[in-house]
Amino acid sequence: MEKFNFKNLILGAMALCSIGLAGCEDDTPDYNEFNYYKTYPLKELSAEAKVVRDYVKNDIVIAHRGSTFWAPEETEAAFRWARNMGADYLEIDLQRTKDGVLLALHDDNLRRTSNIESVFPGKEDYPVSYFTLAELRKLDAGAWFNVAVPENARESFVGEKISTLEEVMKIAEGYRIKRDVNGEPVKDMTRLTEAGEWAGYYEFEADPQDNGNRPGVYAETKEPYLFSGMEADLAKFLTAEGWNVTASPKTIPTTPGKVDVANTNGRFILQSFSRQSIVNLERELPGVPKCMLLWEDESASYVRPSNTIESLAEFINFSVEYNCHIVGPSIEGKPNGYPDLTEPWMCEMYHRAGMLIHAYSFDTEDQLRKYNGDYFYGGVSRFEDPNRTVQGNFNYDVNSNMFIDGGFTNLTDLSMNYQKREVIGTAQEVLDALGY
Amino acid sequence: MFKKLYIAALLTGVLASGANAQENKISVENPNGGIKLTSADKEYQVSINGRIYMDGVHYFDDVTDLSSDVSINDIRFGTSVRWGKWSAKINVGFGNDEVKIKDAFLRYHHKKNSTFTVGNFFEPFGIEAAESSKNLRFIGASNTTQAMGIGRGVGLGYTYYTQKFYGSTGIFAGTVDNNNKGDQGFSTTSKVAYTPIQNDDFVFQVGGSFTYRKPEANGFSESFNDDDYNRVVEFAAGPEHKFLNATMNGAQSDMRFNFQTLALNGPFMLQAEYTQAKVTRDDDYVSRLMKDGPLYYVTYAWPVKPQDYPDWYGELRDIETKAYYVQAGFLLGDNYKYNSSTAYINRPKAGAFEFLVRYDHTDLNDIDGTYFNGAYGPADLNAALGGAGNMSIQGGKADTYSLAVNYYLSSNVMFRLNYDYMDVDNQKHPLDKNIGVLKGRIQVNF
Repeated sequence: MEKFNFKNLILGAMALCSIGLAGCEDDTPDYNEFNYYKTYPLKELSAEAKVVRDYVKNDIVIAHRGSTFWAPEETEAAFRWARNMGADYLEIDLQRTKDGVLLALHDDNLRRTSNIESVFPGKEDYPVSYFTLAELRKLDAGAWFNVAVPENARESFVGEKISTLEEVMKIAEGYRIKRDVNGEPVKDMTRLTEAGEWAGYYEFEADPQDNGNRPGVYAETKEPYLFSGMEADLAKFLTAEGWNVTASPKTIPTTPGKVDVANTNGRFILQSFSRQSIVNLERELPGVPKCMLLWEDESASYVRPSNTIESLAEFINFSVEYNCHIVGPSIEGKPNGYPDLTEPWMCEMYHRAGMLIHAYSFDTEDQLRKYNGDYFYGGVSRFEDPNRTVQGNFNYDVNSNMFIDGGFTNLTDLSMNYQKREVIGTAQEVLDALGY
Repeated sequence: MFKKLYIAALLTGVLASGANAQENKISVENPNGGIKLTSADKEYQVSINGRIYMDGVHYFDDVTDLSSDVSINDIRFGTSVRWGKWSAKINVGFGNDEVKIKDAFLRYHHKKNSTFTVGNFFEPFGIEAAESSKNLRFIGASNTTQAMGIGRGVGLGYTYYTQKFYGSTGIFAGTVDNNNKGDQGFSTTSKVAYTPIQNDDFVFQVGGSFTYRKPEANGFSESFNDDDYNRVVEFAAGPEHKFLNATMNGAQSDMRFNFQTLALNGPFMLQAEYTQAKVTRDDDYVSRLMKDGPLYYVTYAWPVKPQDYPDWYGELRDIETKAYYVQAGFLLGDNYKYNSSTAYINRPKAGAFEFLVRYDHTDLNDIDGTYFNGAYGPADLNAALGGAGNMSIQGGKADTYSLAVNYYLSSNVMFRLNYDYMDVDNQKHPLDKNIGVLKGRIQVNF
């Protein structure tokens, strides 16, 4: 019998392993978002936070800056139109004047959306915080629109004013700015500066063209270094106006069958791209729904395209930690060409954390169909058929968690029609009826 | 060009030795598995050396994909020449489709145990970092040594040893790999080892090493007309350098301490090293400010003074990292034998098996800020949320448990098999926790 040689056995095994190791089957799934979005560790909103989240309805239409398409953005005309059109929320960008008034303006300066070049020459790039409200009232915030969007120009947009937060809330409550026989806003001379001069406020009156919709307000705060302490100012203002749902909110009369968001606990939603501002908002306005806005860029402040899933998870976990009940990701498509942070797998992650998804900003029906998932269902909208079924074979395990719960839209009319909601006329007809 | 000259010199040496053999009737020896040609007057000796490492590695990766493969990890070819009190060695590596200059030095043997060396050779630092990979117990060095060990440098060194004492020191001016335009930097490195107990039954050694280094500049800055531009220190180890990797920009100096110990008792061996590094960092904020100039915004200007840079981006403070390993070995078929001239172990004899275990702890983190989304902010959360930066270094941390079997088939051939289990903690790879690495090597050297 041949002698068993232990050494040779070991030797042979080692040699075979050395050469053949790479041939072993690798059963570790490739590291990409499609293999890990379902299991990537995420925090989840607390039960208390989910109660606040549920203040906000599903499938809401958020009128982005009132409208950027039919009327000059963030003016009375845009907000009145959005209200009468049936939007659930009037969306604004909050800034603060030199004398501490909160108002609605998107850009860092007034160059694009006003005639500041002729009123305050040399100060075109100055921020809002440089001017008092009374000074800003000298600006025409509507005429530029007739040049920029000539197909939707209206003579009556000339002379539109920059809107204060108070005015936006009043419009939501069914009011409008009172005007004299010449169409000029009536100055409220009961609200004066310390020097005894007009402080820049106008009087209000019940809007005769109001059709009973009572939308909420969805307000974005900027980086705190631009407006230090603005979150505290906002909390104080909302409480004083009865719009802070955690501090004895006032009852705002509503009409059955009409939008009633202004009289719910979801009447005011906070939003910001700034994590610092989110932390401040959680401190100043706990219990008020909040939205973490997301943008994509290779920077710690945004979702990094180089490692999207980790980066997205960081933002989701931060959002949960500071009770952001909603996430506001960008969507792709013309005309903006934004990055897509609302892909189905991303939505599944947002939803797994317990957050609602309010994506921005919609301009076309194709975008509405895409981000509501219609193309997974043979083009059938869930607003047409709530029991629609998946048609086709996709890389995703398609389910209802992969799509949005609402969107910021530049075309409230388009979004309303897509959702099969009742509208009172075309966008132009509504503007006509409002007297523009 | 430099590398081509080395290769030409190497070939010339080999041809010359062949010609020499024909003319002088040289004698041929084959000590330790090699071939040595000696001239009739014994004043001139030439030996040829080489190696082949045939490797296979399989990763049991966690989430991040690692590339299992087989490769010819290293091919070396070289020659050593000795005449009188002088010797020279040229050794070129061709592994992984790269030509690299390895040993290339001239040595003067002042006495048998006292040598001066000039050229490209190992800086004397620790055990593993100063030892050829063919003599390491595992396939490749520990993570400790990979991260903070030192390789070869171009310089001048002196080594002295007795039976119980080993000392080596040198001054070096960068490496032969330097391809950057910027300043090459320099280093001085010293090692001492003392072996107070050394008999047939037991050997015990302790030692320490120190290096001070001016790191190599990363390039030349046209803006500042400066060849001192961004000196960089990089510590990296482990699978594809993914989970242990610390890059320190703006480095001004790099100091490392190493403590080593070795104990041998017949077929048993215990070896440990502890290495700590301190990298000082700074930047030329004055030049940056002069180049940038104040950027005027509507309400403020930035930057207006040099301190604005560290105030906003974070201070380039000193960075400290540390690592250690402990390994134990058992020889079947031989006993460990100590070599005073190298202060390490001789190769076991043919037919021996060697079994080894190792624990390694490598920590390349020096963090004093808050981490979010791939970047650090100040420890003060509000400042971090406001966008201010922090210059913490997150190189990752790992505990690695290793097993190895070596079989010494002959003086020229050995078979190695290793398994490493890494418990990793790296914020850039949050899902990766446990990595397994199975490695095999057929090692041929002559």
